[in-house]
Amino acid sequence: MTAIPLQPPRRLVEFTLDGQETRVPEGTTILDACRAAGKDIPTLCQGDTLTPKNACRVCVVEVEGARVLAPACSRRAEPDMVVRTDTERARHSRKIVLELLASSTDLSTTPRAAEWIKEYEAKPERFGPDAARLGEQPRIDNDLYVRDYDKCILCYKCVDACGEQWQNTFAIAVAGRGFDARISVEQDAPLTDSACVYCGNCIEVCPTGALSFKSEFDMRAAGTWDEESQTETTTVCAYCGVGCNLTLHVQDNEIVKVTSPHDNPVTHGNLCIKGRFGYQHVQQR
Amino acid sequence: MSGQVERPGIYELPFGARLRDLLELAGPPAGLRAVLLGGAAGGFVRPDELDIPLTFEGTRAAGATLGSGVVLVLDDTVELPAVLIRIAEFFRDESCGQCVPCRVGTVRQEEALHRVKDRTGAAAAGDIALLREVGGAMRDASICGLGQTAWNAVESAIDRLGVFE
Repeated sequence: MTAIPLQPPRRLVEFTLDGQETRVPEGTTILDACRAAGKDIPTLCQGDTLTPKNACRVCVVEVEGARVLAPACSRRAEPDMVVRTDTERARHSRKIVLELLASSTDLSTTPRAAEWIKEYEAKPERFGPDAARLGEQPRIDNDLYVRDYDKCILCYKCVDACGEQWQNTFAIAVAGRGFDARISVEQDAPLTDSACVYCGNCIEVCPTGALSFKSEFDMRAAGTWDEESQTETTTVCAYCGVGCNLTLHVQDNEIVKVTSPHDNPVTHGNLCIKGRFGYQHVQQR
Repeated sequence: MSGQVERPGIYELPFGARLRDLLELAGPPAGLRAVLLGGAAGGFVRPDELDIPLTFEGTRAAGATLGSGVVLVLDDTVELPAVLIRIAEFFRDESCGQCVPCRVGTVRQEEALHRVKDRTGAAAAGDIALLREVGGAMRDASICGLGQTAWNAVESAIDRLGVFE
């Protein structure tokens, strides 16, 4: 039996997307409608397994009659709405958002960041050499994963994955305000003194590589991380009877990282500590 | 009513009173330079614009706002760039940090104002263009009204008062 979640039938909403009459099921976001139409809108805080906080604002589009731009990831299509995704105004805000992020945050491991910066002709260096940066050092306080908050864009995805949207562990939250806001465990303690259960579901959703396996972090530091040469093999976790899917990322015959397919109808990319990190026995030779 | 007036305080006037009437009640300064209408998220108006009616429609028609209802009066002894830096500092401080345009934009705005505070004309043009671009994105792409209005006062000081000319 194939597990396809059945949903009640939804009405279709008709609206105009970049001049094209478009019909989507009621409740569809503008972003989903764009993707269905083959449009490539940049996103950072949006994830396929989470409801976004629309915090990054890199997906903004212009909705006719609205005073401000709308985040495509969160705004749902409404009847007769007129949406333009590629106006000068929308492109300007995306460019500035990319500049603000790249001038304050280390985006070196953010997939597609370099491509978008080029596409939108963003010039983060124009804020000058004295522009404030996060200035965070990697936090290496356990053997499983590293929190490198110099790469954090505060997308809230790890907080939501740890808390109410998936894990219900609530080990992390945003602490502080404004530019000083950071993701933190209670009392800013080391992870080992926190409520963290090391499920690694925060790493699964992190869009910038701020959260990474210790193995990946060490290999990147040593210059041996080579994603091109890695293979990905999806298998079934051997620990319990749930049967979660594991995708083993293997480089030079060693498991270097474990992820889980986001389209799995049961686990949606989530794992527990055993599936995520308990693979050492496979490599005992 | 605050700033350089003889009698700062709380004034209650019927809608439709003009800015001039309020100033007369509070005792205007000798050399009036600017009035910040609507608080930190509001905008500056010039001494030749005191006929603006203090209504939602009247201020809107003049490209200003009643905002919080605060009227801050500045005379010509005030260093306007320093006032703008104070306003930018306020927004940087008040930003909750949820969205990028406001969280980082308010920091970049304050940095640029520090750079241009003693400059005018061509020497300020680059940073003013930068302020305009960042301000536009804050206004268009921030989640809430704080980020959306964080550049109002600075913009009006540049465009209406000509502060860096």
